[in-house]
Amino acid sequence: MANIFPKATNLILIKAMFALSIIGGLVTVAVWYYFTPKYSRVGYQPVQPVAFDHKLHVGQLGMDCRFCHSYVEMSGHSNYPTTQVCMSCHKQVQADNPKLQPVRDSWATGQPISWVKIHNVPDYAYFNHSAHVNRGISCVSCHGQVNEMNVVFEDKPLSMAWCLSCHRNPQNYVRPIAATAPGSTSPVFNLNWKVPAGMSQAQLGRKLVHDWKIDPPTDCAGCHR
Amino acid sequence: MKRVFNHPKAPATGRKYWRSLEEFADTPEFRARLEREFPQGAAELQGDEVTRRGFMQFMGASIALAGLGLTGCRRPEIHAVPYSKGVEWQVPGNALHYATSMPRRGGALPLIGTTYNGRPTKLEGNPNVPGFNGATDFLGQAAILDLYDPDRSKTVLKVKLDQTDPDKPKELRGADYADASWEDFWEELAILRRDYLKNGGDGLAILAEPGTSPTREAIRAALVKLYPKHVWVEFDPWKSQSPGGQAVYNLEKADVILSLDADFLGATDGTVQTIAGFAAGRRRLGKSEETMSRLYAVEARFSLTGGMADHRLRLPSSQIQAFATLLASKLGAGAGNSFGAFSDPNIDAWATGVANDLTAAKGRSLIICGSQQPPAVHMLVAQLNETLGNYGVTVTYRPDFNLTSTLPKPATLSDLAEQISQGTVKTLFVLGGNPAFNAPVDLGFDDLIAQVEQVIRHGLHVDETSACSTTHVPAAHFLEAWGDSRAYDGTYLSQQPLILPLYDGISELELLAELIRLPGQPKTKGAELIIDTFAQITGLDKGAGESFNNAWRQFVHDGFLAADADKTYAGLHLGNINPPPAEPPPKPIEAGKYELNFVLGSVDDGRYANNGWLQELPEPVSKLTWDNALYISPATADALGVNIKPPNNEIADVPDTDFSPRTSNNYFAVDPMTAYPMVKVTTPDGHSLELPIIVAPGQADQSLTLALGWGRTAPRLTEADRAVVTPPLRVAEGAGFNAYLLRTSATSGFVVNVKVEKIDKTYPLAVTQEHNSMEGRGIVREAPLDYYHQHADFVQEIGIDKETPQGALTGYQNYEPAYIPPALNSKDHNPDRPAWGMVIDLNTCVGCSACVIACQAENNIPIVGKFQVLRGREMHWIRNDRYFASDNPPNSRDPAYLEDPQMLIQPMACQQCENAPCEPVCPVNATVHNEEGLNVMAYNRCIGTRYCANNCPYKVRRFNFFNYNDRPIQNVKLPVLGVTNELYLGPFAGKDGPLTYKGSPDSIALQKNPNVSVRMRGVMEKCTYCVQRIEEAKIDQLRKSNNNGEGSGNITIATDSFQVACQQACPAQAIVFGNLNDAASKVAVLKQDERNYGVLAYLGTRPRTTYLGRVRNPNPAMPGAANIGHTSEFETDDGKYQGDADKTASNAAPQELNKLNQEKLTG
Repeated sequence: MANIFPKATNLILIKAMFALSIIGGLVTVAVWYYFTPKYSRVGYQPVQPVAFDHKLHVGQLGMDCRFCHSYVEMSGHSNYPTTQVCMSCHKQVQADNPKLQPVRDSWATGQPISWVKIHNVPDYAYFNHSAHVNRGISCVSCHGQVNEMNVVFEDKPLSMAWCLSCHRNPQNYVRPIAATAPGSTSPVFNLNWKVPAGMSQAQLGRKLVHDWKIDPPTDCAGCHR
Repeated sequence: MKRVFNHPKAPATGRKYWRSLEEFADTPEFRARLEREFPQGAAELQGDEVTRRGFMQFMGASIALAGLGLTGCRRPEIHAVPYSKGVEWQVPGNALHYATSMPRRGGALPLIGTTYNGRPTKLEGNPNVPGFNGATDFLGQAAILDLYDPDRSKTVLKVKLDQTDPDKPKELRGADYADASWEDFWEELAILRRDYLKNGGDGLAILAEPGTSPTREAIRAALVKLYPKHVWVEFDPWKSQSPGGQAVYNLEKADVILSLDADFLGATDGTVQTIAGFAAGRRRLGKSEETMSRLYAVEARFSLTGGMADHRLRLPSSQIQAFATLLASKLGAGAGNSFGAFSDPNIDAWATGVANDLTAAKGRSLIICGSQQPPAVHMLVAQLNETLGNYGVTVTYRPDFNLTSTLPKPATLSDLAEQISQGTVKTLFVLGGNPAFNAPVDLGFDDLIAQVEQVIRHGLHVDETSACSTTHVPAAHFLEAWGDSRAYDGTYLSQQPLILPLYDGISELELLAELIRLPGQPKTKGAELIIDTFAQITGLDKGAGESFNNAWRQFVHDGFLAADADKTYAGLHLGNINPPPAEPPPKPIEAGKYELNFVLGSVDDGRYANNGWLQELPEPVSKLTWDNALYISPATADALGVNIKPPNNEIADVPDTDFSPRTSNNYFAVDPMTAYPMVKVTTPDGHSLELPIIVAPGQADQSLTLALGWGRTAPRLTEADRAVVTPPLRVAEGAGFNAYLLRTSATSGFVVNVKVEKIDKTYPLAVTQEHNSMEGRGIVREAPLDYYHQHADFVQEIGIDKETPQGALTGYQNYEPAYIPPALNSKDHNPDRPAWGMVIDLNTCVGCSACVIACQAENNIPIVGKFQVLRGREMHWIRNDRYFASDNPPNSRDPAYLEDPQMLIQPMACQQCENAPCEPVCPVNATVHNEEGLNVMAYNRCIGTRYCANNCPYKVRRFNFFNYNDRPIQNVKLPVLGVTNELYLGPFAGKDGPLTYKGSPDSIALQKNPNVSVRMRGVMEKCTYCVQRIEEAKIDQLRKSNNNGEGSGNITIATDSFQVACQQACPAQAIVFGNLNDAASKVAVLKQDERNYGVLAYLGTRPRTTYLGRVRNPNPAMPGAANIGHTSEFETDDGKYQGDADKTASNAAPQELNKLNQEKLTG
């Protein structure tokens, strides 16, 4: 009986195994990369055109987030400050610091400063800042302890699963909005705020969720339009 | 086991609703198409050379290469760029709104413009101006795209010196442009001014469009003073033939309305107010104290007005005068009937019936005359309205705007033509308009213009008129310029720019102001032009300081002047105006010849022809896109030998893959590439044109209708010019046929005795009339008024609904359903959440299509081009289904039944079914329900299987076959059929390769709504109930509730505090959207209306969008009244209403079916 398989088929098994191992390797690499925070860019810390130090301005000088990000309570976008805002102080303070040269240039020429965006959600996701900060979600919940960052980096994955973890259990994050002591900052914008003693975040959160009728959307239309 | 759903059988007798001739005939091809998910070929990748297999090979190779390069592994660096200096009022991410107005023929349209970071994205009606309902029409909605038109002219162009020789043929004149600068132009103008100031303007002529701007009148007064000998000419191809004054109607007060060839609901001018008033009259459905208005229409073409009419008479336009005279004699007015009686006794009976009804409603009736009827008809109608005591109640007359002024009457175009041919015109300004394209053909205006030594053309586009001019100056769009205007009823409106000129244009006012500027005076710019006029109109003192400034700011903010004394025109009657010179009445139509009448289509007189939204907007009745065509009646078709019946009532097998153009004249061909037969039309003046025909049910016999404005041709440019001149009119060129070539000065409305002969040619027309056809009974429902009074719930008697418990299929609140979809039934469901719903009132919807364009503007819906429409790939989320209704013919193919049907329009968008059939078939959960009852689409999940579209009984889902939003405009002649306007050739189209075909013009991207995802290729999309507006409203309330911890704490959205785009645009307020859980909302109230029904609700889909059945108001004394609005279910064989007793006597099959279907839903 003649051979059913010609000689050339001897190598098919080896070739197939070789190919499979390559495919398997690719899958492994893909999972390694795409299924980890590496892909969601936690820790992303690009070099900014101006070495703005949040730790200095917020942590040490005690500036409120809203001094620069002034429309965060009224708009979906949290705006970047205009050059004008920078210059309102730095006309006097550190007026000759070479690090601020790009700011002075921008002010002189009218060319805006091109900041590198760190926290970015895809175009089809419509995150609204005002909806969150007006309902007791602090800046720190998404951006981390910016007051301790010399150079801002991405602290949270900003992935959909991460968003949903809060939308499903808002009590773990909601804070009071009104300042707890006269003269103090609202807990939403106070990045060092701690739950009052004798109370857990869950207890406080449950009360606020109930009182404020907090019912975050978990359906597609909440964020995708 | 798969269970096939059995639709109830339609009754064999009684009334029949149909959308197209093919459906009427119920051909096998039609049935095949009905069962398709998309029209034949829509799902094929069909280009000239690329096959599906080839495509897969290319794609596979490119993916492999992309993978090798691993370019996708790194994300690009994204930059955030703030302003360097803060801009007043500007909050990044939030919209700003400005009041403005759109200058239009016969009166401006008040608008509110939305801008995001300085770019206008959407226009809405100004809700504060009385009479407009805060609504717009489709032209108002589409104006935003014109602003961003990449084909607009961008630089001053000058013809090279050696080309100014007047003896050169006109086509050479504009054919050698040199780029000039503004300085050159101002210099040219300064020289002109110097010379003409010396001679008093001798030889200077200015041709403008009739305007409504008081400021322009003021400038004109200065012109008259400085240049007493200049000639001021006004021309608009569609200016009303009314000899003095424009009629302003108050349709709300009219109980009986007669339209004489007037398409006051569908035409392009003043319709927002007329529709609003008409809808108010149709809402009065009560029995006694209030009266529903009744509309009679006499017209040649089946227009939207005819569709809304309770009684409609088909009559050629040229016979309207005879009919009006007949009516006058019946009403005991008018100076005798010189026309003699109509040969058709039906017409006489008709006139008697109307006359009696009008007389009975003295002082509450109204006769409306079509704008292109001869002046004599306008005078007669004015007289009749006076006789009937309507003057001052339902109709007043507003003067033509220039009639009030003391300035000399503007010259007409024929005056100008005469002066040019005498050689007395040395310099001609052409401001706006496009006379070389749309002037009466007998004037030969393009040749005439070319004879003038110096022609300065101010226009938005380099167009036909620019081609015969010596200088072209780019114009600013109305959204880029300061101005003022008067609305249809005379209200003084401001026109505020929303953006600086994108393409360096100047406004007409700025150009004219430069002409009256004396040496040494400073230039007047922007608002300075208007402020003097404002001071004059209000009588305020400009030097009064703060009080004046406040009044001015208030005016600009509001967009209109509330206290404007000029609004009332006491004493201006048409009857007081000197009658125009008597003209012979139109000739009767000879046997074997026809009358050709002209109408305006979606591109108006041609000025909006380069607007893709308007080109792709289906004509409301014929559903034709991207073209105009000759409408002929079925009888005319028969006479011309165009076969509208399949031979022997048998249809040959159509091969499934047949894409070749059909050359047969078989009108029942159901091929997406249907080639329509062509005819040659020759007017008595000898002008002729070859045109494709559409057999239009309801068209008057012996009458042909053709829309103006199509057939634009770009100026012929040399290769060198192409480098200088913007590619002209990429959208408009090649679309349709130029009807102006048949229109002369004497025949602006109609030409009688044209010859028509069939020629052996065909032309592809993209008609959407049966794309997305639905199958099933009781899709549109109607009843006559008296039947409605006896049976307020008549909608429940139609279709299978009569077998189910009251409200079971549609009622949202009254009915405990057997099954609630999980999203609405989960344990986490918060009952305080809103439940969104919509009600569309078929009784007031006239089908004007404003909603279609509003949706397109709001939701970033792309246009797809003619060739894609031919394949059924149009993207409109809301469509207006037009149904014809006639008696059910015993032989279903008898064309006699096509001749005089009634019409119903039904807007159809995603019904947001609670049990949405699209959801369970999606393999990736891209379309799911949310707790508020929306059937939401997550575009980023969609993988494009199109199962959902296949399973949608309403056919409202749209698929992005190409990257329509990311394709340039290309006007390429396709090898197939020679179709131009093929904008999207797919990735491998053209011999230049795919890469050169990428990217849409930047300016178009600026129009996009930032709150809506721009969808890419391979994604399914559909109406979302404007979910971005819903979410914005919710977030807005959250913002208010707890701002700084001091808010109200109230997170419930105020009742009816926001509107969806289609609702906002609707002049009739026929679309109502809101929260069903809020008992006070309008929509919740309407859902309880007895006329409320859901389309195909017997499928168990529980649609959230429901309809209110239409009520017609026939006059029992009129011929044929018994057949109007009676659905078959109401009638027994002897034509009587079916009594309550035997309501259940119909066949048992539906009951059984219903049980079956219920079983299916629960089990």
